Amino acid sequence: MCHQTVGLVARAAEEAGIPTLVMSVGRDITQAVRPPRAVFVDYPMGNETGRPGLVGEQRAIVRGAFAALARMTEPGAIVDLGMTLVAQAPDGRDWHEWVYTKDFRSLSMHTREG
Amino acid sequence: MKVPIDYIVRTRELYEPLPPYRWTDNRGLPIPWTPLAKPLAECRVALGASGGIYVDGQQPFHFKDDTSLRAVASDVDVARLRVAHFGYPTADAASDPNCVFPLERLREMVADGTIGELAPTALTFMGGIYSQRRVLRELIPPIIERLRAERVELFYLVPA
Repeated sequence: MCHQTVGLVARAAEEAGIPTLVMSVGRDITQAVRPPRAVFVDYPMGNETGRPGLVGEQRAIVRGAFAALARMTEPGAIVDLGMTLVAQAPDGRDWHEWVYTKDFRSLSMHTREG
Repeated sequence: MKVPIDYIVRTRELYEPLPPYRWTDNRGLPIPWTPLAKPLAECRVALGASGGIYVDGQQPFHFKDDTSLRAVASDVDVARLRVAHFGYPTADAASDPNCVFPLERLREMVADGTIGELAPTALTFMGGIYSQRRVLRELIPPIIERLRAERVELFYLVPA
């Protein structure tokens, strides 16, 4: 529900005259809530701006998001930064198959890179 | 590229047998829009994050529709940041808050002139709020008030 809550906050801020920029890793939620400006990265919830200690990765996401502002000319824009995390879930599956399923709770991932 | 993850379906499965969550659907409705008043390099930016970040010494978030807000000084020592959230694995954020609260990355962007400055305060909350009504009535008004008081020109929001 974090994605929904953030989207609602962003809409309210823009109604109040304050421009917003929203990160998203949950494209389906963002597409439904429709914040005015969003940036999508294919990362797990909890790593919206990267993995711990990987400053270069965090920088690429955050700077990429701000750079994307110039391309957002229509309300409801979702710019895809084209960044996909390559990592395994603790059970060896790709993280995409594991995130937000019943096996997901309180476990951390084993990453292949970085 | 991989097939996008269907979080709405997965959330329903994860929280069974609770009643299905009623997701917001704003499709078809007008989208509010405020143009940036200045170039990014001159904008005062505020960071907002829903990942349950707070400062050591502040009240931690609780998990039952907690709609409270924490004001985090933008020059806080990040070693004093903590995390409390039920909806995602918080181990990464606990070891490096920049995973969901990229304050140090924004400071770098101020230092090199990409953005103008940071607002004095970053705003944090716990986004796993079941009641959309409470988000609108309790969470949002104090956020807007603070953004206005600090004359924020761009609000950067990171969920978790």
